[in-house]
Amino acid sequence: MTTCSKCNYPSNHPLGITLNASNICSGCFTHDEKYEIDWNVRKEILLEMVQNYKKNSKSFYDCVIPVTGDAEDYHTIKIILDLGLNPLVVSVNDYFLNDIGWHNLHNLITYFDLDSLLYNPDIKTYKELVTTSLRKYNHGMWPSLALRSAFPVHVAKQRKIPLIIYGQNQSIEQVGKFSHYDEVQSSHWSRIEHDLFGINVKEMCGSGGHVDPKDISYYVYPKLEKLGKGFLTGLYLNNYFLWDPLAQNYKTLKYGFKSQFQNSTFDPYERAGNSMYYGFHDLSKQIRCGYRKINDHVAREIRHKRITTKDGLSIINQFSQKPVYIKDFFNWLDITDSGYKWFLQHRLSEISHLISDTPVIPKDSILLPDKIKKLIKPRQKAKSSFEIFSKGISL
Amino acid sequence: MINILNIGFSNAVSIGNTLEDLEYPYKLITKKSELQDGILILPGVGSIGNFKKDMNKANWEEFIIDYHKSGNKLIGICLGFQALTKFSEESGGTKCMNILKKDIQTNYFDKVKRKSHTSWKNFSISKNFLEINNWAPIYKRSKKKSLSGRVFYNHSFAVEHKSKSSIQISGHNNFSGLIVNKNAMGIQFHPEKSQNFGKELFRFIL
Amino acid sequence: MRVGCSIIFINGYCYQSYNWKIIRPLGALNNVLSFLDSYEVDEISITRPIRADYENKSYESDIEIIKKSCSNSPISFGGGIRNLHQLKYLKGLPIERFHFSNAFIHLNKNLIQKSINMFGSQAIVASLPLKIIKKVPYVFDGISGNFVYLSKEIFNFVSQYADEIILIDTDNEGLNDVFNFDLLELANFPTNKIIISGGLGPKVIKKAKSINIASCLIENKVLHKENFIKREL
Repeated sequence: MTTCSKCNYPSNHPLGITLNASNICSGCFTHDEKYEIDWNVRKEILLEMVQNYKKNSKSFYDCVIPVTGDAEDYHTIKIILDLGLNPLVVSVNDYFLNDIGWHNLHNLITYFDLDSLLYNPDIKTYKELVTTSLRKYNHGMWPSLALRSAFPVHVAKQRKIPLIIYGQNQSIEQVGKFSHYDEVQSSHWSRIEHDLFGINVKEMCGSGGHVDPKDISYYVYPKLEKLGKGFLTGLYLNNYFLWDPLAQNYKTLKYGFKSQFQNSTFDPYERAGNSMYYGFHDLSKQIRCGYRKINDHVAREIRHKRITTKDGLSIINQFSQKPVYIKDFFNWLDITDSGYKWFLQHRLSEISHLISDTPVIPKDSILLPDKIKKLIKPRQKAKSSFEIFSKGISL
Repeated sequence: MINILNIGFSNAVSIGNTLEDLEYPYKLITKKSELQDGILILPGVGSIGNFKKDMNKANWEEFIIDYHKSGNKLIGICLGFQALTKFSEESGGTKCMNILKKDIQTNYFDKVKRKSHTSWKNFSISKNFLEINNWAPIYKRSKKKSLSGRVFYNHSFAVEHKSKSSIQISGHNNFSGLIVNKNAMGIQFHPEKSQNFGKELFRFIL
Repeated sequence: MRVGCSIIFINGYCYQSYNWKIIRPLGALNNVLSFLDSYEVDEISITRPIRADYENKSYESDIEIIKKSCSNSPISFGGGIRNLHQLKYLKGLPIERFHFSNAFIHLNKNLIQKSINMFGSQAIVASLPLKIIKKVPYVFDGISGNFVYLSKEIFNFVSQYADEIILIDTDNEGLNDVFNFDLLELANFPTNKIIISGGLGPKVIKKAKSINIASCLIENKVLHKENFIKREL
């Protein structure tokens, strides 16, 4: 297995990656475009585009912004409001949020005084899909990804809102799948290829999964012919603004965003408040891809010149050995103790050394460069996980 | 049963994939013993000379003529269509199966420039056309009275039926896009590669 | 005029090419084909980029994947087909046309003639990645890895045996709306036999249509926006 000689990404990255003759990956050389581009010009291009949509729109809202309450959502909303747009914020309850997550989502809507929609999917169907996704693909987040990528499109279609705006295009930021100059937009293809790793919802129904196709309409992208010719445009802000997640997420603290102290990474912003992301999902990534989320964060910071390649490798190695508590996920999924033990024995045996029997309390035990340290404090510790908070119940 | 002759022509697999998608019962056949009553689709790409050579390896031509004579339907697509005519100018002049009768033969599409006809063209067909030519679809899945759309052509030789006749629908210039006669249908374009309209056409004729 | 899409495919995966130098990942072949079908592109060209620095070991495994692919759009396929032994793998593929680059550049009459016999003259396309150096056209030779002069011999051979000719503007590959029409003048093939690729966009396609070009193959961009061709053109 070859790795990028700069950012340490392996050549089997799930989004696809290429290495040039000097063993530098497509993510690294695409990242370098950020320092060549005149971002003022790009911002003007975006402004002209969105003003055009605003002018021709028949809807009260100018755009849909899909959010989870992440720090990036705060940054995205700030940009949208500064551009003079009137957004409708759309969120999906994936039942994975903890106390920090719920705070961040509600604070986002409150602080910026946003109109919002929150979809709470039928939990029985949802859990059935999570179980099927786990059984077939060792992936617990597929249903959440399917909903989060399709539901906002349904809302935009139903309410005739012509624009959906996202923060970053992950495949550009991680692997340089497209050039910034391509100004790539979201599409049904990109959803299947990147968000859902090639898996269609049909594969989650039948063959043991007790899900009726009629219960999953919001997990499915609207048909192309029903969207209309050129009706819906999905823009990514990282094509128009220099995207530096750690630095920009740090600034969202002033809006009341709470970061979360994580055990398996130094980044307290990305997916703060999500019980799955650095829990079971991080371990399943290790099984499926051979590396954990820390790799993504280190690669990003190497490119932003806050970590050296050599230090990055050491940081990855250390964080990759950090244990994870995953029993809470299986409890949430109503899996019995014997079912949990079966899973450990048959699916996670190669990483059993990473599984903790008790909830893990994060500790600062790994030396980080000063450039990182000054951007990652203060941090909160989560008080709970998998908070089923919805439909008017207060914490 | 819809039989698709599969002796190495690329469009056999594509036709099979399309019928699979449309949920028709079909079989890709390589031996005569596999052929069942119903419809035989004769695909074909390449040159008629090579086509005949491949067919004659297992004496398919005579078998197909007999299959047709016993009341089964034949559909020839592209080179398969040309093989149903009387004669082709290709490969130095080639005698074909003459199943379509009426002195229909295959000539150069562009004798001067010798360039192929590779393009999308509009095509229309009606239920009335099929009825007057005694072509009764077996599966009857389409409720439409007529179809219009675009189809994809890629051929250097074409079937020319000089006299205006109710048995043909024009393709391009004076050449036939589709001919039906005596339970045999010849289609010059590739319905299996004509996207949604091609699928609709299969539903219309099968 | 047809308007289609060109994709790079090797080692079982689709890629994008920029300026004939940079390769970026794209996605799984069947997903790509399925969406291009839904966008109703006029044709899809799948090319294995066998340049001097790539090894041709994956030919058979790539053919196996192509064999299992499924598309209702016309497809042409090529890249790295260099000898008669490799031709036999192409029989029975769900592909309408085949494009050859080095076979034409190296005047491989045996291979081209055999291909015409097997697949028909309408199925044989020449693929010429071009560059202008001091107002003279040069074509990329995948065997040496260098650009070589587009000689009269190559021109005559291509004119005689290729049903259509793909001219790729390698300098502008992957860029937007900057295809260099000087290539057409310098290469001098009849326009109704030409397929252009490299730096296509709405203005280029409009101009191509006005001069009776046979086809335009848009590289990369077709999947960059939903239903790109119908929206932008």
